[in-house]
Amino acid sequence: MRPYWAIIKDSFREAMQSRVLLLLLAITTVLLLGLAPIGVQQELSGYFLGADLTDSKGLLDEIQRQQAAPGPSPGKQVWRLFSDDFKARLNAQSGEESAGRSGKRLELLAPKEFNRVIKRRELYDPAAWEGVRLGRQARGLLARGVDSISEEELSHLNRLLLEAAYPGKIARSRPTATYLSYLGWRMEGSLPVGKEEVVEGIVTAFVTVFVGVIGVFVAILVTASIMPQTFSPGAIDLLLSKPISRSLLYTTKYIGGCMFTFINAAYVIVGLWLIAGLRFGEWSNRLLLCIPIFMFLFSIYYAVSALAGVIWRNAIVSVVMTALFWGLCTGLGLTKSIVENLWVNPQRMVALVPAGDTLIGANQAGRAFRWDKAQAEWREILNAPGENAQRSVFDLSPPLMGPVYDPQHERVMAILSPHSQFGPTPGGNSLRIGQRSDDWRRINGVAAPAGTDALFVDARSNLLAVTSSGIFRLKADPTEQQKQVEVFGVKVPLADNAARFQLASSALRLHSPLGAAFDAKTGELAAFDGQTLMTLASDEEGQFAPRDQRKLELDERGVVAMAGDTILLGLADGRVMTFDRAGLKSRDEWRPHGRDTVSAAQASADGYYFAVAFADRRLWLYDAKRREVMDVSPAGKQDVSAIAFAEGDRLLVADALTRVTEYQLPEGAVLRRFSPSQGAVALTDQYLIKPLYTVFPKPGELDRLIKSLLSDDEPSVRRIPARGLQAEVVPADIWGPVWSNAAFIAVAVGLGCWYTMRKDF
Amino acid sequence: MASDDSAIDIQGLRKVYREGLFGRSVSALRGVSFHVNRGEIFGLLGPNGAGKTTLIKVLLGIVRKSAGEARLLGRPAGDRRGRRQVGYLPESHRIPAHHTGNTALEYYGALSGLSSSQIRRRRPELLRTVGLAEWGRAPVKSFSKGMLQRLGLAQALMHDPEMLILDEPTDGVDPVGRKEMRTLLQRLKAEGKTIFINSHLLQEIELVCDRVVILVRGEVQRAGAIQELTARPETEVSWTLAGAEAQIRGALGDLPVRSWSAVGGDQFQVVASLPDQAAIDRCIDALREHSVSIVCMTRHRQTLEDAFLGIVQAQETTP
Repeated sequence: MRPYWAIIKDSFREAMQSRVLLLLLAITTVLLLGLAPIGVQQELSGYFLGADLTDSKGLLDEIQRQQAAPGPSPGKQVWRLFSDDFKARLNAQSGEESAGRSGKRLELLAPKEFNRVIKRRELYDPAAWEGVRLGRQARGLLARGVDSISEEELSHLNRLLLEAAYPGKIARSRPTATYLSYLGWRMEGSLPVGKEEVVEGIVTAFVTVFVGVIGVFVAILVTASIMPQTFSPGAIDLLLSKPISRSLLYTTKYIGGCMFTFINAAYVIVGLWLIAGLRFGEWSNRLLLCIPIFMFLFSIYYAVSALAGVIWRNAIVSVVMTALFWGLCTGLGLTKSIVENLWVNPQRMVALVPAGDTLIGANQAGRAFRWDKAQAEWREILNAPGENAQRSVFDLSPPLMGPVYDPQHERVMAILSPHSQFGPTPGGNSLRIGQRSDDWRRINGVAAPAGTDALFVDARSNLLAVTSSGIFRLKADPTEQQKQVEVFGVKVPLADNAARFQLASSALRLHSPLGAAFDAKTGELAAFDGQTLMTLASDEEGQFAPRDQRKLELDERGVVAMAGDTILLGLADGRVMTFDRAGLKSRDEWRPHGRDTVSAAQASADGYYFAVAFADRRLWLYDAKRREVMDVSPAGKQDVSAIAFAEGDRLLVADALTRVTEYQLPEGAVLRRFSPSQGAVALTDQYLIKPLYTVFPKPGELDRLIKSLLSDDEPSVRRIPARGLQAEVVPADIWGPVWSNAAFIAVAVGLGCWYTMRKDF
Repeated sequence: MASDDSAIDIQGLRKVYREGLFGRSVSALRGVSFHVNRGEIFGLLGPNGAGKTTLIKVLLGIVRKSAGEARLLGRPAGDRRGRRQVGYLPESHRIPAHHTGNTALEYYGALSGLSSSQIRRRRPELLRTVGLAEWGRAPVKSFSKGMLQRLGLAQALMHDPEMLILDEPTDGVDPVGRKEMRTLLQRLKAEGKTIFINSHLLQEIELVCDRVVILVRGEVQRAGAIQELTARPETEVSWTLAGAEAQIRGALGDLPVRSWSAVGGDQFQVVASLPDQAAIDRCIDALREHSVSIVCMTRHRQTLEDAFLGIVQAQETTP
């Protein structure tokens, strides 16, 4: 190995002799020295900003009024401490008929004046503040005595006294305030976050921008010449005449190039670590782990630069190729994100409902469909006339809650999910009803109860809405038009319409959002709110009451499936648990796919089989009769977005966006396929964008790893699973990009080795 | 003849380069065969584009052969164990600018597998040998071309190789340096090392090489000892003779005179071709018998350059 160590050592020597390195280190030193005087102080809040005086004019008027009135008052105390000039201005203003401009000037001066006042120990007078209700903190400080508290505590106390005396006119302050300073000069105003967050923000910004972007870019520019120089005529002849392997020569030169970045990154990050420790008292050893991460980030780009360098033996071509590669990676990631989030994913089926001889489905964009057997395609239902024409190319509606099917009246019902990835859905709780006899056209029904977490149809064809506060039953005809009144041109539903859903249970003390399941055979309901799992049974009058209840305190949201003697609970943290239906005794627990969120759980009517879908679109099957995990591999098991059971242990599985396959359990034999043709965008995504994205490295995604190292929070992404745990925030896969990038480096370096071995120099 | 003791043994060696987008083929070597004995200094001669550098690169494995056989020190050309015993000085070599004389030798010595202590032991001696004793700490970017060439030779000798392959070793070296290099090569030969030199400086080759091969357009035109290549069937002799013209012509009799010219007064410049030494002796006797004074006599010998140019020109006139 001696020759290869010599090459690496030579790279170090080259780096150390490089003027560019010295220049970079000098620039880095200047930057670090520029950063060092930044100070972050966290103090008890007191300082007034202009925005803190929410009603400046009213406040000054009130103080003047109190000053004029007999008897002690906070206004008198404040007035006494105002500067003479300010008092004169106030008096002059009150004498003017039009206080417009001078009043504005006074309002601008007021914060400064109050900042002077809060530093004075004579502000507080017990008689003046008698009758003013003080908070616990103010009382505590007063108990210690105004003369014995520190200057910082005094400012905070005086601020609290003023806030209490003039509620509504002075904004309530946070307990502490964070201030930034530079070279001892404190910047105006406090920051809305704590000291730790500020330090973390400064460090993260510096590391991400100066090391991750500028540092990597400069390193690429500087190291671009290493390979071309090594493989230039005259130099390579000399090297290849030595008893060394060509591939190892290339690899060690590549490693040597990375050493350059190591020196730079180590210098910057160790410098930053020292500043964060010495100046801010934040000794974050995790920061030091950013050195290998940035070396890794650089080594991705350098793999491309080195490959181009050995092929073209030109530093400029190396830089251009690396820039193109960066553009390609970024562009590909962006394209995939746009196409999938705005076009492809909204088309994905997230709910399936067997409806007699037809199949009904709903996609992520809140649109419902029925299967048209003759045309072999999905036809949209529950749509109002002309609605399609109004839809934009990118459908960003929230998913539907439901649909549920009422076999007796042959109608399907749904509401818009109350939460979408963009937040709460406005006006989304109107019931949407479609009847077979009316070709499933949308009829707007009554409003569902606020906070509805699940919809079910009971054996008597009544619609049940499950909320965290209770279960509601729709008694009247749901197709009856909702009454509305028009107020200033805006249609407002009448509140009493919601009353058609009647409370059909005792008050539940659960927390939304709930996971719920309903067994139509027994009329029993199961609900889980992250802490409590309960079953509810209805009496003869249809009133639900808790039957069994168990505190699980899992602190995770979950979905529930119930049939036969089994209740299955799927959690956001990836756990799947089963319980005895009677008594809620725990049976088994699995974690089939690590921490991947369970997105939906369904049970066959006879309670024999349970199907669980995960957010990463994998399927897991459980045989409750045998109490064992089923080893059935339906096609599309890797891309499952919706599941449902039909009579006779038939499992319906939606995959590949809009395809549905019906399997016979337990064998897993395919009974039917509902396979529409896919659109051009979906096909482009499936056969071009996705494969390219899979093959290409994802250097941009290393950001998550860096952020996770720099902060204590686990990095997460908002993801819309197929069903149940909508908009669940799930842990981000921070190591996935590391492996894909490492694979890319291996391939790129391997290509470089292969080229070097084959080439006649 | 080739034997197991051959330092280099090449049989029917061919190399075809593919160039351009459409892979146009260019034959650099067309069935080259020769061998180099161990312990001799061997010269590789040829005009530009003859395939000399390609041949060396094939021997070192820098370029892969297309066909034929090439063995270096008993191993297939390019074999790493074979390269371990070879020191190579490429034409127009480039030593990275961040090196000093010392670090360059340390780097290339380590690439040849030497330990740090071996490098430290050998480096001063070698720098002295190539005349760079005072330049060990100087950066190579301050070196002249001749100094770089000396340093290149030092790196080739660093691991005390069994064989040296030198491509234009005296390129840029001053006359004093050339003489020193000749002395060094003779010393290395005396130590039993094989030296394979490619050079355009035919006088240098003639002075140091035992045998040469002449390549033209990728083919061997001549191979053999220097004396064999420079040997001629007749000897050319030129005289400056003093005497009457008739007297001189009478003395020379029917001798084949190639040129006759008067050089002033009663002196004449005469050039004649004679088959051997006996004929020269007879001619001198005849001149003296006719009382012709021999002012000056020069015997001409064919140089390697004459032989080389003769071969190359003959080849170039061949279609």
